[in-house]
Amino acid sequence: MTQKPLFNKILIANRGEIAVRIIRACQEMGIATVAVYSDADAASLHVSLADEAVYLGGAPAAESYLRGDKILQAAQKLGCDAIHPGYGFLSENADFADAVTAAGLTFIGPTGDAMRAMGSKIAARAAMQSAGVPVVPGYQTTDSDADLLTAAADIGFPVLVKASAGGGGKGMRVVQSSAELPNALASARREAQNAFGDDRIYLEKYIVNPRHIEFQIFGDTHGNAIHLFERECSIQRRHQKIIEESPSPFLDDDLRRRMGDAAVAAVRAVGYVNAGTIEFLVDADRNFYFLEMNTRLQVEHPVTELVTGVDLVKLQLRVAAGKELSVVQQAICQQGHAIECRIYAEDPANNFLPEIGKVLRAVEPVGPGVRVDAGVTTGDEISLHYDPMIAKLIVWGENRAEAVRKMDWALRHYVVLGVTTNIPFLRDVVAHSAFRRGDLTTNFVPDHFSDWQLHTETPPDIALVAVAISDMLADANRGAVTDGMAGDGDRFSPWTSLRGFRMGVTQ
Amino acid sequence: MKMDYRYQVGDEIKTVTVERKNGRFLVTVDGETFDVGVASSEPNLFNLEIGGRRWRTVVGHRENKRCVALNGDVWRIERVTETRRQRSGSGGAASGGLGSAMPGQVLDVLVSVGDAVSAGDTLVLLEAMKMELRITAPMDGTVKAVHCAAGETVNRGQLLVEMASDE
Repeated sequence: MTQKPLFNKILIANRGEIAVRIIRACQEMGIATVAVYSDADAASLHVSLADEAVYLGGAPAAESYLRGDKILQAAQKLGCDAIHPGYGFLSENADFADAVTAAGLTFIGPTGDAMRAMGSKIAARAAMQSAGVPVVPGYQTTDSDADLLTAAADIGFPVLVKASAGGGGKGMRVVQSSAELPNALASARREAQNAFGDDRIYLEKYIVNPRHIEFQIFGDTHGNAIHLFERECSIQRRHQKIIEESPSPFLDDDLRRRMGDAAVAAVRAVGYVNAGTIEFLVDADRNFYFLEMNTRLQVEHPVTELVTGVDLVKLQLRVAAGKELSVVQQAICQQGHAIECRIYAEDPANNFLPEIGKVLRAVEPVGPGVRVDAGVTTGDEISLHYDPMIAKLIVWGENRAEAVRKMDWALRHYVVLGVTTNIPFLRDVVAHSAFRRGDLTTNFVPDHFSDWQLHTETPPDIALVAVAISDMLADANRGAVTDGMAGDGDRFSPWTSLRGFRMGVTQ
Repeated sequence: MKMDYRYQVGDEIKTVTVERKNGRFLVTVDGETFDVGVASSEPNLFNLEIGGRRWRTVVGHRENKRCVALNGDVWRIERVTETRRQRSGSGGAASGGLGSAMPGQVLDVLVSVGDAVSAGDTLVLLEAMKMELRITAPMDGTVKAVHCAAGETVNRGQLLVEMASDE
């Protein structure tokens, strides 16, 4: 324990559960931490856990968590030697990464150049192709409508029109026939121009009912590159993942080895350093295609941690400090099965629209093989400014069936009162026969749950019993029904507080 | 001491009677009485024990809104205020007044003064916010007074019917 820490002080340029996750890793490693916060987060968990905290500005991200200039100034002023960007916000902002490095600090992530190379989908495709990684058949040579029409016919319909600078489904169109193509091209260009200031588009074969399977990769500054196996993230809603697992129930050893080799080849081809993810689409015939590379730590990294036993945040810090990867490929294996559910404040019965409000009470499940990475807990406000994720619930079991049962248990024991959550929806997904069979595609939610509704039966009498007793105790606590109490001759006074009393329960 | 609490559950208003006795709670819902032991080790957590069987519940309050988690489900229930205190005197009959949960219109009054009713019987039908609400008897008893008539507009909390129990 006398070993010198990798860094002295790290600023975490993020909020919520990922800021908490990184702060805890730093604390274990003996590294001081600086949190940053907006008006909305002054009292939040990540601020209370850090050694120091710096106020950035207003609640909108553009005034706070996206203010790279303020964040860098704060890091310099407080004597930080590194910045961890988390995910989202500035994590894939190449200019910010460059600015941090230029200021003499360490950016915990890849270089700005690597982000630029992978951020342009056209450049990323080209880099992958030359590294021998299969890409979705597509066309990216010229931008003329005539060439694109010919190319679409060659690829075969349906085709996908995508924005080169795209993300989040913006500028994306599925086109079923050549007659539809000219209009789709025009509207995709307009949308891309508006969203990204770049109207370049390209074509891809539209893979029907694919699986989304990604590989966690790592590179270091010594030329080593490894993968830490796959995560299957096919269960999505509104193009966002909600359930992830490792291993994928679909991959066999041969396909897993080929995809892993391709992922490592991709890392080597671009000389990538630090944590990244290679996303693939896998079709029903077990063909796999490079989709994109994420140049950051992923939300769903815990499932990889649980099956490989590697702490990915600590490994990020190690690599950023210029050390060699602490694990070699041959030593990494998948042990057991891990599943993650993202607990959101949202209404699954109403298009998964985000819910805002105060969490009156959260009770998180605790038990062997259950991990909760929470950013929101009792008393916290879920505002419209940020992603409405409450927590990530991750379980580990000896095999998939065990992990599924454990997830079902954990979801039933995760109580969130005060805001509508997707917990009942997740329970139904986990209980679904297709999920239990591992029969997953990115269309799983629309295919099986397009008209999902919360059960609407009347609550059981026990629920009313509990509510009425809580009301009597709360009223008594407020003094509303104090008379009559004396007549009971009751000297001990559970009535003064709802905390810590018991009555009439046989031991 | 004995208290009546009224809750809107779906389109129905249910009265739940709670009586504290010998360190336990006697809770009556729809004519059925539960003998309940309660332990609360943390705020909002109520571990109930009924006939040896245990139930873990978490209850949240925000103004009149109640939510309760039980067996992995979260139920939303609205408390209807203006409860009337009942004092369990020396053998005296309990009585209760039933009010409207929401402003609305009386569709029908199904009882008259002097009628004997059973717990759960519908006394008054209301329409409010395009929903039909049933005001039901919280206990077996007799109708003592009726304060509304079909077609009448009533306010939230307005007294509609008074009852006396059979005890």
